[in-house]
Amino acid sequence: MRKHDRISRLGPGNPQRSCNPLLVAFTLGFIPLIWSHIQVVYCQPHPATHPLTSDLRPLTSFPYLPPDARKIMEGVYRQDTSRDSSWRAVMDVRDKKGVVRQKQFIFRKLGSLGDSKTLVRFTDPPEVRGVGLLSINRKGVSERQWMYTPAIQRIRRIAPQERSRKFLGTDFTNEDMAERVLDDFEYRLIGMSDLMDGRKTYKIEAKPVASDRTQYKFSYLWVVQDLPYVVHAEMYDARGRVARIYHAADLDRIAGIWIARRVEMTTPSEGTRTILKIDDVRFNLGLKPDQFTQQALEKAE
Amino acid sequence: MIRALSLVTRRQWDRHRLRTGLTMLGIALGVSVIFAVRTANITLLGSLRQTIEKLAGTATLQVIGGESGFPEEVLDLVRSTIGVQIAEPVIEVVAHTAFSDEASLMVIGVDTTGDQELREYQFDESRSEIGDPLVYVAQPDSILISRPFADKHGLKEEDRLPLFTSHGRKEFTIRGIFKPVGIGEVFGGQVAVMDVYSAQFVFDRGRNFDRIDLMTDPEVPIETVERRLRDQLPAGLEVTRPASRGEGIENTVAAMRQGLIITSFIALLVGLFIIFNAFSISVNQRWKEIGVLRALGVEAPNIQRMFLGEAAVIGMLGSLIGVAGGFYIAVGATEVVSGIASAVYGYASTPEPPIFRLDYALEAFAAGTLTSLVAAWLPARAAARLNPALALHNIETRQPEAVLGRPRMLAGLGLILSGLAFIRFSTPRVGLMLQFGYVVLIVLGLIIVLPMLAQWIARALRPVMAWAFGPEGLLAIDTMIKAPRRTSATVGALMIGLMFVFSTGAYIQSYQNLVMRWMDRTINSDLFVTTSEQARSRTYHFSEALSQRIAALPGVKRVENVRFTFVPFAGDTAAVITIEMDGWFDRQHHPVEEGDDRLARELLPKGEGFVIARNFSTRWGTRVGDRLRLESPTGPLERPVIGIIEDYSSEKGSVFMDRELFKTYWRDSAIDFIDINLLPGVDRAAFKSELQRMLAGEQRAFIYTNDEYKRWVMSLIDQFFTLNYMQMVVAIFVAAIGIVNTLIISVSERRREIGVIRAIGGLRGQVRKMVLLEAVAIAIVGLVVGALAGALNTYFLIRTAAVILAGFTIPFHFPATLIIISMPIVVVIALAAAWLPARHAVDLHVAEAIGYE
Repeated sequence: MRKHDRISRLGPGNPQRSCNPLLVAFTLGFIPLIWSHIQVVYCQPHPATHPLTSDLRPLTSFPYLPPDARKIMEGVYRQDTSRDSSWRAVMDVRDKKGVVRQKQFIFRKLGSLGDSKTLVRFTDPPEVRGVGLLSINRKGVSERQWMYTPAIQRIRRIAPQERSRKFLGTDFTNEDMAERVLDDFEYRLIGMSDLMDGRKTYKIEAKPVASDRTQYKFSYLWVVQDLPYVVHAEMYDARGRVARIYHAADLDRIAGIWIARRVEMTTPSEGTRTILKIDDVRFNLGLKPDQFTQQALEKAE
Repeated sequence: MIRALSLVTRRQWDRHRLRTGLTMLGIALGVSVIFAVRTANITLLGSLRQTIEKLAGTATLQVIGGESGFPEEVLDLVRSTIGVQIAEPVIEVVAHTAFSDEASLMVIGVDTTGDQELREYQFDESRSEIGDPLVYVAQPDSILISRPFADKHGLKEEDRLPLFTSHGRKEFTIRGIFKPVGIGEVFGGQVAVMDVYSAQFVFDRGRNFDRIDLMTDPEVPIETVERRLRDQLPAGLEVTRPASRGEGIENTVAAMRQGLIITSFIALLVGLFIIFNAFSISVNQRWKEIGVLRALGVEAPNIQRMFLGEAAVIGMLGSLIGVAGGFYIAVGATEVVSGIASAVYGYASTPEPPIFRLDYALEAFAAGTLTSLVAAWLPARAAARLNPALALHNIETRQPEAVLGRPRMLAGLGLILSGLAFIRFSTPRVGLMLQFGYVVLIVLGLIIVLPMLAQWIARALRPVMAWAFGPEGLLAIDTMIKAPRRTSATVGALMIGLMFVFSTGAYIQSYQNLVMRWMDRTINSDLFVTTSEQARSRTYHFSEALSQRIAALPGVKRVENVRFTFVPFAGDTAAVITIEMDGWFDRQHHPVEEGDDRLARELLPKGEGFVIARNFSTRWGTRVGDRLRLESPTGPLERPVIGIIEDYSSEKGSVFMDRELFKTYWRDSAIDFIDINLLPGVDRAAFKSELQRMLAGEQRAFIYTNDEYKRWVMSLIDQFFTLNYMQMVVAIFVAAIGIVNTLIISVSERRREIGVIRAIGGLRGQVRKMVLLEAVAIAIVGLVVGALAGALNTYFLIRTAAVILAGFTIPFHFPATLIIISMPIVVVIALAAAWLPARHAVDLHVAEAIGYE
């Protein structure tokens, strides 16, 4: 198993450490929809701390009975307790020649998984400064997204697209950006001894219940055992080849919530990589719904 | 028996190689013109369709409006329709670079955040996608170009590409280069892609799209989605499949296409006369041979079959040569028709090599062979009916050739008169083919009366020839009078060729005179600024900012902004011309021909009515007082027709309305022409120079003074008729072949006579002069009958064809100037055609010629 460049600061056995669904969403970025996907697929609740998953305790505490992967994923879905959040990010997109394009943005979110609004505002480089992206996510309803380009002072609606296509040149595909439904996958625990950044992890296989639910044939997720947090994932294409690799590192605790300060998505077949570095994370700022409207999108910050 | 007779045929061909070759050439030219024109047409349409389909990518349906496009809100409506999987907006503009050659570049505005599902973009190997999609979308100067365009101009990624936009010259940054596949193949690879919203901005499209390409859910039948879309979209929008859009274009260029195909048959008709002539003469020359064959027991039907067999073989060989030659001619013809489609109709097509259509080749081949058989039918029948006893006499003992009798003369006149009556009295819309039958009646009548007519004219010419050229002139004209059968077919070929030349020329001239008079009356601004050196650009327009800048210049009294566009109307299209109506009326003196001029002046500037062109009224039967409904992208626009005006802007018929009304309903503020009116005393030329200096390198614009503008319009009309001019040349060339053929035969038949002339002291020069003068006589007779036929056909063209094809009423002008100008040209052509036969005559050996039977 590949060792990542920096070991998490997360200490083993800390009962307070639970995976906040925001965590990976933060790290994955500027596109709000990724957040919910990551919550579902990559996060595992901490049975000891989450009120809704306390019933898992007997299961997981029983020494010879392995935890139920489905239960872990259900718990992840109910993790988020924050009302709103905000952070800054630096995103490096590295092409196969090693050329890096860097962008910086501010991310704001209001609401919770299945009923959230997010606003991304790019701050750098100058060519993209002021570009805004507003998303409204509702469970069971197609995601709605609008982009504002200040150079022509226009808002455009972004249409739902082919799920396997890369989103705006990053290593995240459109599917990676969208909210996923928990029931679209079957989960199976296939390993309990893999080490990831020095941490013991559960290895979970996620398979779609039908082939039209995802571009991926299946995914492997590595969840830290003493902290329900997905630190590594591999997504496989229809031919069984690794399509994308996700890795989270530099875990940090802010306002009682753990986040990864560094997230990396790699496309092995193309030799490209997208790295996100997160900073200035804040929760429960009292953001208002009128800050997440098309009118707000047009306002320069 | 047939095999034995074929030996006779072969011997004949061997002896008369030149004549056989020329006969074949006549049919080959006719066939080649037909095949070339049809091939060029289908290649153009194929190219236009291919352009549409490649631009459409994998779209299964398209939503289109008029040329002005439609508001972008329609996109949400389309996207929300059940069964629509992907819907992406498109804007297409043929822009020009600001490089020294001002190369044209098709710019396709698409929303690349979603469009790659619909269209194939293969980027260079270094990139699988656009270099930086976010920067590409965020910056309105972003552009992607095709590899051929990049190579042609030595461009690479991140280089700057200067383009003329509606807001003047702008520098674009190349953010990606895609391969010449899929969309990259369009427009000969001279194609670029930019963000659709940026394209709206730089090409002044407001918040409109040209069309929406959409992909339907494979689970839902396309027809169902099509129906759902039709149900909820405004009536001015059309839901169509990409392949069907080609039919719409076909409809737009129909007038050009039909005109060309009809005229292309003229060359074949001329070829028919040549064959008829060749076979008539052949029968005459082989009189004795036929008598021998009959005496040996060959039956009459077999004689007829022998001649028809010869005609079939000549027709087939000539047609084969014609098809092959026509395919090569089509290369040039395709360029011409593409040029017309682009210049007159504003359609950009991808240059394509001619498409070889087997069915067209077979049809042209059949037409050529059939023409040959038809032409040979009468001579073959005459040969079969020959009296063997008479035929066995020497050639001099033949009965003198008789011209047609009185009944046939009357029949011919009857046909001509009935054709004229139909033209004069029939209603405009009784069916295209039926109406073209009128001219067929006239031509048939002329053919029937031709031998008599030719004789009369020749007799009238006799004293003139005698006076002008002495005995040689007299001998020449007598030769013609004595052999009406030999000469009348040549005269017929010339007549058809010249009829075509005179009538086409007269039609064009009449049309140009009419347009000129109309322009003198209505086009009275001092200067005009246009977006294109062609009639107009469908996709590139000026912004109002430019107009305002011009209006602010010292010396400008007023500017008016003209938008000339096409909108869907009654299953076809209609031209809409919008202008600031108050200013327009101020400059016009009683423009309204029918209706209340005062009311029009009052209501139109308020947007409370339309005026329509006369041809619109003719085409659609719309009268003053009717309420005319146009489907705009924002809903129906219905206004009363206040008046009818004279206007030749479009063959589809034009509707005039106030610019503000159009802007409100079409949400389109683009400008195609800026009419500039100067203050008294301001020098037009000086102002033009100043304006040119101001716009140089900044805005692609063409500035004309009033006179220059009118000349420019005239040159566009000329361009429209380019192919007709080419066909005229071919028709005359085929007719010239007829003259060569006739004179060769004439010399051959008169060998003994020529020998006798030489034996009694006739000089070589006199013999040469005699042959040349016979050609001149044929040419003059041909000119006279050609002028008559031309006048009759001109009457048909202006009275019927112009109404059918464009709804125009063009006054009849006898093409006198054209005929006078043509006279020396036709005589020179005839003399050139007679040069070879004259040399044959001069080179005859006197003793052999005297002994010739």
